[in-house]
Amino acid sequence: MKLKNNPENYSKLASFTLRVALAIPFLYAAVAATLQPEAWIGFMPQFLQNLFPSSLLLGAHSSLNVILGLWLLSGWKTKYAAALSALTLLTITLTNLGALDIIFRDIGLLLAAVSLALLHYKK
Amino acid sequence: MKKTLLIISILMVTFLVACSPAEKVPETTGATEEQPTAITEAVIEESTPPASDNVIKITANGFEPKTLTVKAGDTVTFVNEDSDKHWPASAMHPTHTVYPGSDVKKCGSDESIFDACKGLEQGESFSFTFNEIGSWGYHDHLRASTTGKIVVE
Repeated sequence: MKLKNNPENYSKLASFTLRVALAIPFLYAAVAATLQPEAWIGFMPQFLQNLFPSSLLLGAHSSLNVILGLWLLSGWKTKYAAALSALTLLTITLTNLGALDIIFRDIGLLLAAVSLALLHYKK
Repeated sequence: MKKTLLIISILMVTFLVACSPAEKVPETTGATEEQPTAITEAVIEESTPPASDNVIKITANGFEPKTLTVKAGDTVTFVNEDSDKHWPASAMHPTHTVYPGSDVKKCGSDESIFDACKGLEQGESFSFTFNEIGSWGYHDHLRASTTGKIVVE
């Protein structure tokens, strides 16, 4: 990809970088929650823990993360993948505000997802 | 434009410094290093612990009191009064390494750590003796948003 004098290519590279930047934590979280479920169940909202078994919650969480990670990497309908990623990250952030020392990075990821969605808004 | 970016950058740095989690940083005083090494104990009991001022109740609303100030060498007891399981442990989730010597990886070993190492059933308690001076954040490992603080003077 020749970047010089071609703004469109910079835009594509920015999109690719953002997609990879978002996909990595989603895929990592999916693997980590599977390997070490006790470390992740604490992030699930209490009302969900009361309604569903931990294994089901973490399984659903990991599945969603894998889908989002692969969807972002695929580059297919990125606008929607980014919007769903932003919604997921917003939910994670809002339901874990008490653990802000840990989830502060998710705020950055949330804004990165919003940026990606905006980058593809008219495409 | 450059001026605006510079102002935003300065504001962000100021905000980050102001919001830095001070409770996670242990107070480094000489007193800690000069103190003789005391035996640290971590005990889980199934019955009601003896009456003490240094008791933290765990309810559906979280830890009560949320912040407790004790003297170095005091033992703090966490009592689960909720029907759900609760797992008190040192910050930070999920590694529990903020309190010196504590680490979730040490669960199952003979070492005494600021970590219940399991979800306490209703009525169960966990006691830990704090020998390190500082402000020590802790949380419920099963609900990462439920937090508290032990100030050791």
